[in-house]
Amino acid sequence: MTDADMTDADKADEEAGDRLAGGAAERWAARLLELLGGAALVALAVLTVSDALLRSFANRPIRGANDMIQVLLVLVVAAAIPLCIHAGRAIAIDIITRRLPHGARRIVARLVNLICALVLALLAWRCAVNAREAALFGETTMLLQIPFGPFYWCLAVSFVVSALLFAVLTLCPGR
Amino acid sequence: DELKLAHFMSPQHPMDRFVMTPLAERVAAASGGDLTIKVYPGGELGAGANQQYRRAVTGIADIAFNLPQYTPAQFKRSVLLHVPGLFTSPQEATTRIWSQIGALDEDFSEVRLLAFWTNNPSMLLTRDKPVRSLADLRGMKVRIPDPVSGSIIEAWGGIPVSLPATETYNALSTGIVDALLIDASAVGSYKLNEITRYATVNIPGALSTFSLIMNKASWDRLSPAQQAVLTQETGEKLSIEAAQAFQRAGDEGMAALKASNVEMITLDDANLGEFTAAMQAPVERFLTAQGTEHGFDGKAFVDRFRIKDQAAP
Amino acid sequence: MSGAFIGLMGFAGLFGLMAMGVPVGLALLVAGIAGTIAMTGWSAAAYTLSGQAFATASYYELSVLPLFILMGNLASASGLSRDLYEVAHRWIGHLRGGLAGATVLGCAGFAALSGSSIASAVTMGRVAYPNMRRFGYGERLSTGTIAAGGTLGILIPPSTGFVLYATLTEQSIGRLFIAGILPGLMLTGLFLVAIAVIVTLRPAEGPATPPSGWAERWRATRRAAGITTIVLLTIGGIYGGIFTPVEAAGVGAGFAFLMLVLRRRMTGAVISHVIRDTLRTTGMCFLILIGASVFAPFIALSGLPAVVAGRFDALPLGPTGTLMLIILAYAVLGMVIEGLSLMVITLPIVYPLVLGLGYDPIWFGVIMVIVLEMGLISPPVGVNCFVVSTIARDVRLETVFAGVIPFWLAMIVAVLLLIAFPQIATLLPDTMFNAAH
Ligand code: NA
Ligand code: NA
Repeated sequence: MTDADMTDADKADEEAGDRLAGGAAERWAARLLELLGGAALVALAVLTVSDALLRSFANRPIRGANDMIQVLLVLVVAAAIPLCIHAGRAIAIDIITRRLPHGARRIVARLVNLICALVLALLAWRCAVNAREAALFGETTMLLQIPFGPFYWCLAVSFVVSALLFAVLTLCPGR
Repeated sequence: DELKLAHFMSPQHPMDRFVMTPLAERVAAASGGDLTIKVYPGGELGAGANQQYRRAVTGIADIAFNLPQYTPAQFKRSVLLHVPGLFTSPQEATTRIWSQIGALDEDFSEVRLLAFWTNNPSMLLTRDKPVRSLADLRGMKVRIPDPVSGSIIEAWGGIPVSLPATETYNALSTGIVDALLIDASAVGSYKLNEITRYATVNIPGALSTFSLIMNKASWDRLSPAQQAVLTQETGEKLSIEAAQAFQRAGDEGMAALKASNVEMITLDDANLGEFTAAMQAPVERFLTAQGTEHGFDGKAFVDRFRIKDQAAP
Repeated sequence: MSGAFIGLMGFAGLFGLMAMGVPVGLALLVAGIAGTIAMTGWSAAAYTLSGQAFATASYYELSVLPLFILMGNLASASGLSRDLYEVAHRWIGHLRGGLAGATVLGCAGFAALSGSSIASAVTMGRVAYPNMRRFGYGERLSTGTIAAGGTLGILIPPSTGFVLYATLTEQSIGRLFIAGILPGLMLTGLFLVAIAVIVTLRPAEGPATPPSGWAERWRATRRAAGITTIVLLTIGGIYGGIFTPVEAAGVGAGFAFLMLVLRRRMTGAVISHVIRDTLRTTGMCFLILIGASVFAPFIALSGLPAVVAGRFDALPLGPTGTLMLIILAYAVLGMVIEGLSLMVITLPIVYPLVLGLGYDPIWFGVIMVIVLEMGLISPPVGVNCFVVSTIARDVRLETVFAGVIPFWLAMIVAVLLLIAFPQIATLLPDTMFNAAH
């Protein structure tokens, strides 16, 4: 859609992302994630369509397409989760906190951000542990035997970035 | 002591009803309640089918239900037993495997093997066109249950297609695939009898292997008396029962097909021979490649399990 | 401490965290992991955490989520939503309440390209709201129509609601999608009836407008050929066995992209906006899915579902009564909890219960989605109403909530009809994936 077609809701949405993105590094990281996630997304779409068409019209399905789709999906998800959090799009319920006095609301918000940072850090750590173990235990896709280890790493990095976003909000709640 | 047994099937699945739960009951009875097993069905301890081996090795579960094909890199030997044409029934396969169980030692060196069994060799379900000979299969798109079947279907002139099991019903009925290569015990779960017109029942199909594996430290923690109870209630005896459970589920699937007036096709020796001859080359290539890659003789390994006076495929 | 008690504590903790404002996905994660630690100890819980997250992120069938989201975004970027509204407007706009009817029909059409209710409400709202106000439509009718019409996005396939339901219950995505078609059309019809009733009672809400000429009508119809083609090709491709419902997501996105190119609307800025929004929405869905993949096994582990089912069995209600009670509970919970999260949180308990009562899982999936749609428009947390109030800046939220009441009642009628005639949901999947005998 063109800029003219963009509603206020969209613009507010984009700005929300930018408000969080104080530093240039943060903006740069977001663009990088969009680029990587976008590439994986396009690859996912192209692979799905070509597998279906080749199977139906040329009788030549792509060998191991499902395996590749599985790992491409991990890449898409790994990019998507921090981007969603960065844009403030993670679904949350503010019906109660909205009614709190300003001071209390700030304290609760800090606590919430801290909880989110901690659980995401925990998740990142476990994914990293798992990444190292995946090779040890021969975890791969079934047909092409693509090793899962590197993709566990991608998820680990994704959760680290997500945890950092909440950590920043905990430390500098004004941003 | 209480042991945790984890699997990812529903509590209604034949493997839970006829294998896991009876095992837990018998162990409790035989040990007079000194040793108990708590079954965690439906992936309550984690559902990923490819994570079960790690679950047992790391002791997250004391006992895990494991399908070697999901972590083929770990179970280099077990997966060779999936090649078609080796066995004709779960019981025969399981008995035969247990007579040579030592050959699988390397696969299970990190865990203690409690049970090892197989399901039914796959049969071929079709909708529009009956498969009575090798020529009939040519050009057909066939949904394959496991990686090994891919090259076999190609050797038969078919086109292998990978699909999630939940989409098999839709896929056969709309013509995404022309045929399903599938274990008869799955017919009931996915109501495949509704959409099938022909079943080629004795096509040399692959089967899958299953195992119950136990964490070594958990085993060492048990008293000699407890170990004796567990040994007595598992092993070949339990494996045969598990194979019988699959056999029964397979028979029920066949009965459902017959009740739906599906034409049951049995290949005669000449036609069966064509299938067997056509798949010989890819099977040998697969066995040789797998063996060479991991430093053993794949063909010789599989020959140990072949029933005597059965011709090599 | 009994397992069921820990399960209850898990729910209490979950609701507490959500009330504090912890994002739903992360609240599910925290409650799930804490509960699993209580049930099985730290090492098993730690294992569950990463294992489940990875299993969810690498689940083949879930590849439909980003692809359907992409398709909706591409369709909206290429102006297909405007075309849809235009054609309905030209043909029925001159009737009393006709523009509202056109909005509902536009929403139903766009629902065939979009898996999300919010996306449908935003996209159609942008086009339809200014138009309805221009012709003197009342605030209540115009906002209520958009908020309610948008909910069709998760009933008419594709639908993120059905994808989640299918994933959590191991049902076929294809069957659920097809099952949603007739109920989706029925609900569209019921919405039109609701509009007719409203304008009969309060003619000022939806005045008649000057009719469009035949040339304009046909021009709009021709322009809408693009979207019709995409929908027909996608559904036809599934029906004709060219691709699976999972693959249809990618094919639909491909067509929508083609449309973008053909209409010369493809620029770097558009593509980057589409990709950015697709990724953000995908992240939103997967955060909840990953949270659910940790929370749901914990609830199963706690044994709470069996305890609850036992309580329900003890009630002298019979299957229909129990089902009504469940639906009532959802209507109430749907007021405060966002729809998809609600489904994810409750299915571990409700699904076994409903199966135990002997109901068809596909049929219940449809009921479930309609009940979630009710939640999307009911106060105080009615996400679709929030969305509409961001489009209609001049309208108070209370007005939007008042405007959706007739449509909420239409949804109740839809649920009752589905209970009375389950075939509305089961007929198409049973004939489309037709039995051979
Ligand atoms: Na939709
Ligand atoms: Na609500």
